Amino acid sequence: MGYRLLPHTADLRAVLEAPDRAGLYQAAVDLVREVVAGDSPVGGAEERAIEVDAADEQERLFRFVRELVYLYDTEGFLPREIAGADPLRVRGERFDPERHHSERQLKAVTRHGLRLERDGGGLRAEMVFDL
Amino acid sequence: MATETAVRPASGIPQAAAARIPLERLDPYRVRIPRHGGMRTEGLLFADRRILDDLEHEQEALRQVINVAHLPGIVGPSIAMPDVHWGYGFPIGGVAAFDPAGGVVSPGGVGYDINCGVRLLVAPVTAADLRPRLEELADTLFETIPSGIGSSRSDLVLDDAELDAVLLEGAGWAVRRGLGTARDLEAIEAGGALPGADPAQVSRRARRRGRDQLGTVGSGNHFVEVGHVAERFDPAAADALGLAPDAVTAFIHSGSRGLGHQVCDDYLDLMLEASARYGIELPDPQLCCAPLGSPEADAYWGAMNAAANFAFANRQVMAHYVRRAFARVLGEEIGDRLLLVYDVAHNIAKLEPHRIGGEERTVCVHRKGATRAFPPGHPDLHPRYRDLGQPVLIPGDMGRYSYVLLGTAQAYDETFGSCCHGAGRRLSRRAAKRQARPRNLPAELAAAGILVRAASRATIDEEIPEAYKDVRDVVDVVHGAGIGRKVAMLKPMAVIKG
Repeated sequence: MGYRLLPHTADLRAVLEAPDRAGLYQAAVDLVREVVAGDSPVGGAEERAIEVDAADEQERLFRFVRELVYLYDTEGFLPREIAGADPLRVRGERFDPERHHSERQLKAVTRHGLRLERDGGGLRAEMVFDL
Repeated sequence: MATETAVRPASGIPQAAAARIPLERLDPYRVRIPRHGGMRTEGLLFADRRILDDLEHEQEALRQVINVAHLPGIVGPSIAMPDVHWGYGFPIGGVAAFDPAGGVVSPGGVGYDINCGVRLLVAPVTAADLRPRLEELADTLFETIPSGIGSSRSDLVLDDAELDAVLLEGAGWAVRRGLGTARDLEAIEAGGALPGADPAQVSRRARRRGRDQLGTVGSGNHFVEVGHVAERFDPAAADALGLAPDAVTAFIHSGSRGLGHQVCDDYLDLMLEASARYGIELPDPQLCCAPLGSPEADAYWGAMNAAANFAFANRQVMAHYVRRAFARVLGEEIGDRLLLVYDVAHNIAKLEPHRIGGEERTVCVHRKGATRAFPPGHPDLHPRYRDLGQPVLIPGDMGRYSYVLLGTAQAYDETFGSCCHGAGRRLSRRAAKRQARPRNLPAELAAAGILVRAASRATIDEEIPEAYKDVRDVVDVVHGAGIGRKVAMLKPMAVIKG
């Protein structure tokens, strides 16, 4: 459970797996944080509400991840954990070069290969990021 | 006409239609993907035997060439350059043209980094002159030009009015502020400003992302690279471009930064709705599009051109800081005399007249990881380049070499005036990192005379030379096919990575 990276030549392709929606969103938070800041310890002093308006669960997850990318690009906000589900809230903190190291930039999450499906007793999602 | 061995289906993203892809070799440099299934046209891949062998592990790229051929109004083949690799909708290294009547514009055919591109400067010093001061220059460039994730400039934060001016004027905005010369504008594709920009179509979110990112490298495969002219294949053309033997050069590779990424994101949402509304069947949602001339296409066109102008301004500002770095290390008279060889976009859609079926027609050419390569005599080129043809800049990896080519009449006739844009990745970033982990890349490159400065170790590892095809193989294909003409080869001396 959590996330793992799959082969992709130029960009980053990931699969998220969790028993439920909360776990899936936490896996997305972990993915974005670790891709941009590696294993830097990230605190939870700040909280951001993330408004996601979507027609279905797949699009909802996509738009949530897209907001995480936007928050990092505009505020340097590193997500740590899901703080609430309705409305969606994420705890984390801003990038601090004294305590965090930067790994790479995520330009965007794409809809190429995007999928969300029930897998056995849980949920499984795939997504490709442009780096 | 021999039939090539089809590439084997890739593991990974499951494909309902993961059948063998038929490939027909036309000549030593061209492979045809015959029209089949829902394709509206055939695919044309520029590849010799070696490049095609590499693509055995890259079936997704060829499938994306096929996917593009499904889009309505496509004119001519769906084209793949020899640096083609798996993208996220269009392949990277893809070219496709669409008829304004019945054709489409697709944000996925331009990409998130709108007008990602390269520019090349040449300095009035030789590599031998620079070598004793190279370390100081690398450090100065690294200090002067912010690189890495979320890099920003506190000295160049734009208010809305200034940002609007950037979005309309492109590189000209920077020149008007003293960050360059009028001569620079003559050496930039489209004079450094694309018509059709409409700042009103650029969202508040996009503006927020770009506000303080002008003059920054960014991350990933973006870079500033100091090098030197190592080989000249056409001395007369090289002289005309200022590429003297052993002359020091500076490459800049960057794009429209967060502003462009957000423009693409915003319009993908709109285009998904538009595709459904106009009944366009999509083999991949990332190819969503709208008919040219529709309100959705017009809105994207205004925003895309605005973002492209932001990118031209970004590279112009970066070039200013490159000149300042050279001035600090080598003296003011050197910094002032860094000449712009050329600046090209390689993620863009443009309306251009082309000869199709014996008549001239305007088409919307999408270049996704491909470079415009106009021939000698083309009226869009500044008179300085009219007799030569347009310079085509092909950066390679950070350990080997890069090339300067010229556009040709063959490219104009066959590829909508387009050529390749780089070496093309062959290893995933994970595989590259795995290979790099036990090694000390900066030390290896330093031993080869190449200094590296980077914001993160991850970037260096992911960008190891072996992660890319040998750009010589790519360039040999376009030269052999006649869609580009080799002028000079450059070798790196110092690389600043994001």
